[in-house]
Amino acid sequence: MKMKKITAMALACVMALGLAACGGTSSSTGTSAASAAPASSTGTAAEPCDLVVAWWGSQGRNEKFQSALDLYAEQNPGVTIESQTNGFSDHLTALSAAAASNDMPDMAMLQGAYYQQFVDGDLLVDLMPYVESGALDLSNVSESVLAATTIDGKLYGVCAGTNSPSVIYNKTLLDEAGITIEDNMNLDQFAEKCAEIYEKTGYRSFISNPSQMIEMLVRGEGKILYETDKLGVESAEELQPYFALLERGREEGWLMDYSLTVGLDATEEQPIIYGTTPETSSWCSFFNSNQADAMQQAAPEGMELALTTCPLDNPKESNYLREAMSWCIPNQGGNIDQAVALLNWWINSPEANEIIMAEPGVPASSEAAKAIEPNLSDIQKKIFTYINDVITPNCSPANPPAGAGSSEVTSLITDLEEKVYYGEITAEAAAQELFEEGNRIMSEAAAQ
Amino acid sequence: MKKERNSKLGYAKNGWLYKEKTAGYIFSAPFIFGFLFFVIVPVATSLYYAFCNYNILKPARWVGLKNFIDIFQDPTFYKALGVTLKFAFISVPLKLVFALIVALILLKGTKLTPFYRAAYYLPSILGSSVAVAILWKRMFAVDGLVNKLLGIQFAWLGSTTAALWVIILLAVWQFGSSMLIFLSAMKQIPPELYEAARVDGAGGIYSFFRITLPLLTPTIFFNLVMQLINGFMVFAQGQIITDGKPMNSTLFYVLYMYQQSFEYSKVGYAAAMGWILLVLVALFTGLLFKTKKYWVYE
Amino acid sequence: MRAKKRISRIAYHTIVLAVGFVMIYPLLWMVMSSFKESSTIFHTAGQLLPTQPTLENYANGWKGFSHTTFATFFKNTFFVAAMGTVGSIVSSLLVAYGLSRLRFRLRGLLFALVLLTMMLPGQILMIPQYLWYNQLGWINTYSPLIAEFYFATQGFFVYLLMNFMDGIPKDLDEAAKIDGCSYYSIFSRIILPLSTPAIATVAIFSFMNRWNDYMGPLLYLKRTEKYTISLALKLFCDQTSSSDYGALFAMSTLSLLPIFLIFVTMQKYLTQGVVTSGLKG
Repeated sequence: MKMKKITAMALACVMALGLAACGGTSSSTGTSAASAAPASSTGTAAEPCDLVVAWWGSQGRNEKFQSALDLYAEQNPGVTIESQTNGFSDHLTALSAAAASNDMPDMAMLQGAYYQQFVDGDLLVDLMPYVESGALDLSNVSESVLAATTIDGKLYGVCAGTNSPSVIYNKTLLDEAGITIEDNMNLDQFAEKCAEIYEKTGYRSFISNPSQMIEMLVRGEGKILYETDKLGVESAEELQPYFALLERGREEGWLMDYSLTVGLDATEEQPIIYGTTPETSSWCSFFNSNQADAMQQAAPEGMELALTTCPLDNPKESNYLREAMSWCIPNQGGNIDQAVALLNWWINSPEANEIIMAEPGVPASSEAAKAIEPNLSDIQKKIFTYINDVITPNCSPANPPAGAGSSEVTSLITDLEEKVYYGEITAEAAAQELFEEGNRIMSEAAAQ
Repeated sequence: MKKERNSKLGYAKNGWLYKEKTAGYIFSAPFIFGFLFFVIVPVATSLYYAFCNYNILKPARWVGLKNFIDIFQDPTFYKALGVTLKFAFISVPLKLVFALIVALILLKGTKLTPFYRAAYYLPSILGSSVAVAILWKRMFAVDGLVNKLLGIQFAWLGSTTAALWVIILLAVWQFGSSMLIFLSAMKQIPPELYEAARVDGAGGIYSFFRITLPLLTPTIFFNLVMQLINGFMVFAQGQIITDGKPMNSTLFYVLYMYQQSFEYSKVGYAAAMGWILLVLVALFTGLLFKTKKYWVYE
Repeated sequence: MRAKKRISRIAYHTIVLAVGFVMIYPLLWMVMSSFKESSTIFHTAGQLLPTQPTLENYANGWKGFSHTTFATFFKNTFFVAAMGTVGSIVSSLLVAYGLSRLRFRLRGLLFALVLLTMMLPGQILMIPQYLWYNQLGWINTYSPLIAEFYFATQGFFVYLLMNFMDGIPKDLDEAAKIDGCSYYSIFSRIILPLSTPAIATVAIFSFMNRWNDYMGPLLYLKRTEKYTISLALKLFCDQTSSSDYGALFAMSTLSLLPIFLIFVTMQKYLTQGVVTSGLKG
């Protein structure tokens, strides 16, 4: 009896001491890997390995990506794949934490401002040598698409799918009310349309995606919102048009009641889909074009969605193709060659793309895009048309990746948008605050 | 003296390992090590980072008092502090008052009392779970249970005034454990005191205010202190139910700290916020102890 | 007179019962909703009982996401909770015995530090601990969620056990000493067996706290397949479509079940723990 207890205790102590060891891979990689990390690759492609792939997204994306990865593992015996999925902000938190502890995934989806952070931290593999060696075949990916992920002559990622900011709207509703939507509306025309829809149907307008909208409106004036250490505008007025649109909607009564949207964060919970009565519904939703697919799937039966351009005064200057959402290969893993092989398959193979079905946007490889075209659903066809026929002929090159601080400014913009929605501050005050605070944040971040 | 007795008794084994002193340190060793390793080290690093510019990806850089200066000029900091104080100073007293009233009601023992006690206690057992926070969020959604029962369409979580109250309600709902504490404290009050009061012709209300309440004050005080400290630390509920929205009206201090550190990668700033919170909590606790002599019966 | 008394008794029970019902109504609603067909949950929110009970939500929810089913999440949570609990019990027992029974120079100081850890809110240590574990390479492992509990860092448990041990008569120790027992065997042969009720209390509280922990897993676990239930539920809430609330409620209900069972079977010890924690010592 006594012996038993002592043994149990001794066991417990051993367990306590052994804990660091039972932690798994990261503790064995430890800190020693930090210095050895950059650029070097170990292992060969034939070797069995365990790859970790990370992305953010909704359930729909998770299912598609997971099935594609399963297929790859099936085709390549010995390769096992672990996935790491999260919501967008948690994904970034997880990645930067992993970067600090030398435990980054082998392949990860990144975008925009965050992309730059990881390049700055020297955490991503330059893919150019692999393209030259033929391990990564990008012959079907256009120069312009590659340019979006090239920094200082180095290729840090491959576009996961091309999309563009858009307004997704309830076509069924507008057809019934006899209202037609034309592409390339300017801010005034859009506001008038909103008022008309409100009058005829009782549906309000949920205008969102503030940081992209402001970025595009600033582009329309030939300027870049995020410069290295400041906002690329000379005065607060240049930041005002978006807030002014909201304010007008609020005054005229057609703006969505923001309080109805709090706590509903999933794509499927957007008021365009989730609303039950005209008062709680919106006729439109501001999202990147690829999201239309997930939204259509979540939409109630009989509701047909369609896409149009964001309201912009100078569409050609403002619109752009988002090609910066990309797959990158962090340099901390020991399986860089295998990760490149997976990436190559992901980009080029028809069977992978038939599973992914353009979920993150039109595939980077023109061949892959062609291969899946016959199997597209109605909404996916609309998305392809939107990208190929509406935006591509009428857009300008995307901004260079935004620097440090832009993520904090983005969250400031969201806060200000919220305040304008609630009528807490005027559009003018919001623009003023964005101008002052935004410049302060950017300059501080650059000084870091 | 004790030592003397020990040596007089003697042991089968006399080595240093068997001395009381040695045994004392051996038994306390886990705590000594744990305190150094899991408390002192993090506290010391956090103090260092509070004076640094640090974003995890790049090495820390000493910036002196800059974080503290920035914090005191940050309107969101004051907003978060205000929200947290409001939460703590409304939810804790409400919770304690409820707990006290229900404890009084349940003090009367009937056959069903254990069952009632369980029903009232259950929410505080399950309440800290994520499942309950999510449930709460759904209950107060526009198409949720609360609106259905009341027959209205009100965006509880979208209202800058109501959202905080939804979270306060969740905290107050978990009054069960305080209730149990009061119940057991009440049972420890000698019945003779009530006897005497009854003989003197005192009614129930009189004996509550003259006997029960004064004798409970030490318990109330202790609970008030502990609950307030916990109230300052509210995080999970805020993050899950509203994530600080709308318009930061539910942005709790710790939630803001979390955002600074893990969303904006401003680790130094967050560390400095942590130290400010520690000082504030210590100040409030100290203040409460100062008031003790005026109302706590000892 | 008797009639009046009876009326007041009925009124008492009615009111207490009604308020109690309101108290547990949200939980009942969740459990009942988990048996409703997912799409009908919110139309029929006002109605408690499902018209056509179904287990479909449980089947759907159990599938989890990214090939990780709730079986994994339950297993992970159970592992973390059990390991942490074992650690808390063992280490707190040792330290409590040392501080309650043995006299040595730093005893007073250590006791004060134990009380300090009781007062020191965990959230303040959140970021520094994160950085510290990060340096140790513990991110994305279970170590940060388990290790510290093997070192009696939870002052409350030490305090609770100390209180209990102080109540065990010292005569027993003395008698054992005369029989030639060392402090170590006094601990294992006398104090340990007699402390069983307090150990049970610590076990329950520790297990419940670990089971419900959200912040720790949120900070330290990054891979879906390592997630605990708290995180899985949160992810579920973020990522599944609005029509899947049935599955969410089903999994929420399952996640609360272990705690509920502990509550039902171990109420006595739970009450004890709560009372010790709240009464001034």
